[in-house]
Amino acid sequence: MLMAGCGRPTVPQEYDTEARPPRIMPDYTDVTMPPNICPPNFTVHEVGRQTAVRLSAHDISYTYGNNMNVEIDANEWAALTKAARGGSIKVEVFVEEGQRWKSYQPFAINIATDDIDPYISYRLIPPSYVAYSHMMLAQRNLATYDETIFYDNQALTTKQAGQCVNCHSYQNYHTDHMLFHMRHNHAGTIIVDGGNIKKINTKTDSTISAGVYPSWHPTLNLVAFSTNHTGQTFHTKDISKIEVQDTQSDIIIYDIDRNDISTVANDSNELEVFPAWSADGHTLYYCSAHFKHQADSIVEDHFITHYKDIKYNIYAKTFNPQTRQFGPRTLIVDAAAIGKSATLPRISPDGRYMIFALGPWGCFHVWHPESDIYIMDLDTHLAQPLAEINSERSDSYPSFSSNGRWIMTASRRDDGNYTRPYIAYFDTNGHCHKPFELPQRDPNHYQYLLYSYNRPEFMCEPVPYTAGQFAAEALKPATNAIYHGNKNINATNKHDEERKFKTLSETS
Amino acid sequence: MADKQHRPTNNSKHITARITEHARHIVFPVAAYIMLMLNADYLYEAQEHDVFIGTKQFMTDMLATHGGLWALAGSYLTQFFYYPWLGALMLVTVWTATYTLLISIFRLKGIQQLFAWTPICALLISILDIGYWLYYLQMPGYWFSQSLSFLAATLLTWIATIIIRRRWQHDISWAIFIVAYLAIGQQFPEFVKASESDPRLQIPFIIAPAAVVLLPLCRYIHLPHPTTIKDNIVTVAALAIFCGTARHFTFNDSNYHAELRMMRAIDRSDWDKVLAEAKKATHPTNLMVVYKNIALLHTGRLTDMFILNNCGTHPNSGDSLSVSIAHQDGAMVYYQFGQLNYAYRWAMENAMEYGLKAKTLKMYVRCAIMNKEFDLAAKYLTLLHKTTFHRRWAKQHDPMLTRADALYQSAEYQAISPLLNDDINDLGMDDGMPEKWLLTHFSDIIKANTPKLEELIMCTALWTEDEYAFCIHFYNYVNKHPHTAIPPLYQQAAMMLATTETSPVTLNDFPFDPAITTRYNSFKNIFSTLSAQNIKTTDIGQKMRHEYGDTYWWYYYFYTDFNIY
Repeated sequence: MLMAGCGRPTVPQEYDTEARPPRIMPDYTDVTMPPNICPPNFTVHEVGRQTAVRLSAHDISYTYGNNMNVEIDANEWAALTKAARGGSIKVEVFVEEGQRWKSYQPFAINIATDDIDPYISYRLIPPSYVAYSHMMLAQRNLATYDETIFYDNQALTTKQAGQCVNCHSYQNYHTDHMLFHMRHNHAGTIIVDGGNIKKINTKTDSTISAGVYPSWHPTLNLVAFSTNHTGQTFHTKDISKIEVQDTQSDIIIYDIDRNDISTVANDSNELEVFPAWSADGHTLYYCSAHFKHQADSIVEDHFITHYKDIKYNIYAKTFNPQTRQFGPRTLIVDAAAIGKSATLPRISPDGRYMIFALGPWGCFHVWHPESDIYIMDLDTHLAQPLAEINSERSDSYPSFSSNGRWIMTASRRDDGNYTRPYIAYFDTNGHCHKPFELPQRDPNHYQYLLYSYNRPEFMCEPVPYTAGQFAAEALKPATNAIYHGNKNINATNKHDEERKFKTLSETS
Repeated sequence: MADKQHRPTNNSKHITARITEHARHIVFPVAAYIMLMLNADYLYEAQEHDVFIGTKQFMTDMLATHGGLWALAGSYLTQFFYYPWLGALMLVTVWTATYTLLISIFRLKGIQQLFAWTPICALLISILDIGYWLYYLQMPGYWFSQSLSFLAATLLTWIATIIIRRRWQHDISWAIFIVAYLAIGQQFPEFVKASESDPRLQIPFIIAPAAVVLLPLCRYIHLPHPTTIKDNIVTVAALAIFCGTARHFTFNDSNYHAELRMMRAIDRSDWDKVLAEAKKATHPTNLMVVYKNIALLHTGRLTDMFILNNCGTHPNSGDSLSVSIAHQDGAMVYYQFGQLNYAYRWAMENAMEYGLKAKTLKMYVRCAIMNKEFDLAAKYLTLLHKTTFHRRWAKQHDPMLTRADALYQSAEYQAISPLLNDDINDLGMDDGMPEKWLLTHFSDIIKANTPKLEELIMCTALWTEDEYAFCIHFYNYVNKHPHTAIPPLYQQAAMMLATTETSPVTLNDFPFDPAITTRYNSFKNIFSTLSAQNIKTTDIGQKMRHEYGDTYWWYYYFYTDFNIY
């Protein structure tokens, strides 16, 4: 008999056997998790009244079950992961239906030997379109379920003037140098520079917009930004519902110490976006789509009628930290050549790999169900999809943990509309394991939550400031950044044509 | 003997006085209840425009906001307007409790007690006066939250007076009330939308506490030579003022209420009810016309669209508030025309700007099911299962996620699916004007793959007076259905447009019904005759409306005020 809710359930002695693993939510069957993460609570999505679930590793075994929920004690989970480190925890699921118990095929939760960064951060935002309301920048302790909000737009939102907050970003996974943007009400970029919080207006007369998608140089006090003119249009039938398109975009670099901005890439026939520094800070990767610039008055229409023709490639520019000059661009991923569009490059901390999102067109793959995560070995320039990490629905915004052993993505695999953080183990052989959804205390958390997890980023430490401190700074007027000039060397690298997008198989 | 005669008279006076006193306590709540129930259509929509989800996450999120406790409690009780009589009863109970506490706090006797209905009257008005702000409120649980916080402040004051038990306590009770009212953490309501606001609607929330502050003064009010009759007269007068004031400030626009009733009927696919409302309207709003045509479309009678008034007007919002169909019920309008992405989008946009509602969640489910995004539908259904009154709706929709027959046999699928023109995916924007977008979109469709869509594209071309599109559609229609009788509406339009310069094809040779031809000739003759008399076109329209108001010709020539909003 079970004593659900007021004690530990007992595994039944007699039961029927089902020759398949149980359906559980989130799906933690055969995933690989780090040893330093909180317990992966889940619900058993089988027909039944109650469940008994036994987790065992070596000689340790615990049983859980509260109706159909499985909520694992943190200390017991710690003991299990300690015992299973480098191995696996066996999970046996039993469900009582009517007067009979049913046993499902056991599954494993593999425990890696490599730890994961202690924190991640993300923006919590409803997957809305033009209008927006409540959104927060939050950080999550991965060892516990503790989530703290370090910026809440409601602090500076009125009924007449909303505030959008976005693009939290850190230097080298550390929060003593970080930034995020505020748009509309009290607009500006909040930059944490050592012990100082600054509010900067990065829009100048010589740039398209204020800085948008950021990337911190790993060692210097520099941030590469894209500047964008972004619009939205809506599909009448397509399941992706919306196209978010840039009609103009460039790459700039902001020198925090000198408060000046320089242009890095601004070809009028190119849409440059999503800068990403290499781990050594000697290369700046970014995406760019070629299009023939037409009169400004017809640009918007052109993008609407030709949205499927906007294909982004990934390029790189060398960077000299001493002179702070960029070299010519080099083609790294020629996605357009295979009719695809590559976005959001991120480089592994060891410099060996680049991961990126590949979709059918455009730059906003979170709305493209076809979007998948790809990886390129930068030694061989061989690219392939990360099949283990991808799903039938949109997978985008990949990032590496600081030790390079974990890859996090923003995936819409749960329901196609709400983005959730999925984390996969990336072993030393360059092999990716089945990802797991960020564990939550309430196993039904994702089912109830009407917010997306936007831009999930790894962090080595928590943000040291409170939402109130940031809000106080946000109230202050922004300091205007000064436009310094153009660091762009427009010449194209002669090896461009040699660097073709090599993929094992587009669909593998 | 005299005593014997006197006693029954005294007893009877005493009984009459007691009845008068009790009546004073009862007639006002009854009057408030009746006034609420006269707006039952609005109360029902109030709960559709709010939601209480019984999950920890919902409650935590709500409590994290300023005034969240009251919003949460307000949302919890607002859901009882699902049965307007029940919600109204609960609201009146809250007010009666407040009144009872007020007369106890301030020790009001006799007719002094009547003044304690003043704040209640203000709270009643605050419920009934918001009109089209219903669509733009950004205050979850509004319909109960203010009354609940007012009751709480009154209760705290009453408790304080019990604790203090001093002679002077009644002189400072008003101050205790104000402190309690301010400390209770309620958010002062704001009626604000982008650049618009209506401070007038905030007045009841100033009057209600102000009336409490003035209540101690009522203790000095006495009737000279009081009698039961005088008491009754004063009570009746006070009741008349109470009802008259509330009635005066109630938003009574007939189109507003008709829209609310049609909204509910559309939600339930009760097309007869929608058409019955449409028949009653003399000057319908554009939204009512859209609703009417949705009902005709789904009952296969869209070609009757001009028989029922098709001349929409701008809603009378009663103040400077600009109203948009997109915000009122844009999602449902798009949905009923099979535009699922736009329906989902507007449900989402409105939820962002004006908060999550029960009707939003239901629209999410509808769109997800029709789009066959079953995992997404399951998510929203899970939330609806956590509501008190919408779980039944959720239960009805559950089978559609797992059983194709349940989906395909559902009334909504059968109504909507013929409109899903799978050949076309357009990318664009609607500029916040669903009616305009729908009319343009459908009248521009070249090839209809179902009879229902075919009827829709022809009728929208007429609705929007796109002669060119109609002529093309008509030409194709007649050639596609050579052996089918042409609906009278199409004949009316075709014979009128046959000779216009905008017609790209010649329509003269089609076999028009002689009766329609005769009627059209008669229309033209009368029109010419009246025009020759230098009568203004609008007056001609009025003169001809009785006889020709059901024709496309009348709509085409005399409905010149088609303002899309």
